[in-house]
Amino acid sequence: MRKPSLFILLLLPALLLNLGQLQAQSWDKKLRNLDLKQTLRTAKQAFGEVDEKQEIRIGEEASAVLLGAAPLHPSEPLQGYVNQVGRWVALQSERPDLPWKFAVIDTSSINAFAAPGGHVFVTSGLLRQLQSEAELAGVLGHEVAHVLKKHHLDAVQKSAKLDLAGMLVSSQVNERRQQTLQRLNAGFRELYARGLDRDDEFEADRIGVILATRAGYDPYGLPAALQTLGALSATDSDLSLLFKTHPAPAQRLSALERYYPQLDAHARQPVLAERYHQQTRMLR
Amino acid sequence: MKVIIPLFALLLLTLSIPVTASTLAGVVLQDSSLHAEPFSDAQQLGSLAARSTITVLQRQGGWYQVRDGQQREGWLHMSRVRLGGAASGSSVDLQGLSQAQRLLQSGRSGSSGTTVATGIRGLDAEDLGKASPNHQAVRQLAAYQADARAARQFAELAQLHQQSVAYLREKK
Repeated sequence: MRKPSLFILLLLPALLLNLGQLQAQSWDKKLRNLDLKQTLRTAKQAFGEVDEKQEIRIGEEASAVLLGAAPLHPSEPLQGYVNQVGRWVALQSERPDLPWKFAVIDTSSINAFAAPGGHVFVTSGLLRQLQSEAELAGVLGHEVAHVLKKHHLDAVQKSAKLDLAGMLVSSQVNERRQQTLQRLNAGFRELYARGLDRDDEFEADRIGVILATRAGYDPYGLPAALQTLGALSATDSDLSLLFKTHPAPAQRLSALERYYPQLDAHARQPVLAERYHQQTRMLR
Repeated sequence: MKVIIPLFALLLLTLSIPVTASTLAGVVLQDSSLHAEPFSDAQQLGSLAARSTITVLQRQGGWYQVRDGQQREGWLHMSRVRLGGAASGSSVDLQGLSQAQRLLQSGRSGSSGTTVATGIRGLDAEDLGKASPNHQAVRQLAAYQADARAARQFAELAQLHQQSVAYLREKK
């Protein structure tokens, strides 16, 4: 309840300014111009809050960085499959109506990424390691959680000291807009190479497990995937970025283990190993 | 066709059984009981010592079916096991022990873990650092999108049923 009242307080000066201007002009002309929506947006932007449309736009820039580093996998059926699993998992969240977009990027590296506004990427290298749709659902749930919690949006805003809300406003002249986009791209390049805070990763694990469970999958999909990753050689170059940017799989498992008793009621839910192997057969 | 379909079903069934394509080794984290079934109140078949290596045969929920060095088979909770370490089935050898210790200390398996077969390029921090934004690929994403209705149908096909479960509250 604290947030809305604070918001109204912040909004007041903007409204008063508008009211002050009202006196100078005829009432009815001004009433037509007093666009409450616009006033709200201005107030939000002054205090750094990004609206959903901007969040999606920023996410497209982040996605462009990832897709500039590795190509999309050419298989449309594979892309479609991952989108169906991902959308079903995202539907279990508090933001079911975001325009969720999932994609497989074609690289031997074992990793997955999220970008603001509902963009989620998983590498073909990771898909090769997973054993079931429940594991995929857990991994996608983890990435969906980063989007829900706006982990990347907050991190890039903090580290690059970017006023994201003030940027990308349509009224900006082209030159300034171009500069803004370049700073945004640089911010995401750096963020994806460095990774999020460890606590963000642990939080995404807790949320990812629950989203997969709500979607009707075996809750142990994400833990099983982490077990597999932990068993791979830590010196393998295909794991270097994942291990550099995330806590070690064993630590993530230890952090999840305390919640296992809460998951056991759902442990008999489907794993869907057959469908997974069938739908990802082009990777093997 | 009548013969092919059951054969195909059988093939799919076999695929679903093992934990991974190849059977994996694991290390027991603490002294644990081997259970006859994947339940904590199932009959206990014996005990497994901390740091002993086991072979993982399959997973069911939070439980792994394992085989120990004495060829005993039973179930062990996932929280008692870390996959990785030396290939096992036999009792702890020197290499296995050092692997187990490394795993327990660092949380990572050593260099003799499964190596990832690769054909295509990797993606590392350097690649990301010098990535030139690809907006055309971003526009391509919309073509793969699944809407809510398609996702629901897809879930229904596999009899995935929506569950009501609260988020986990952080425990320190």
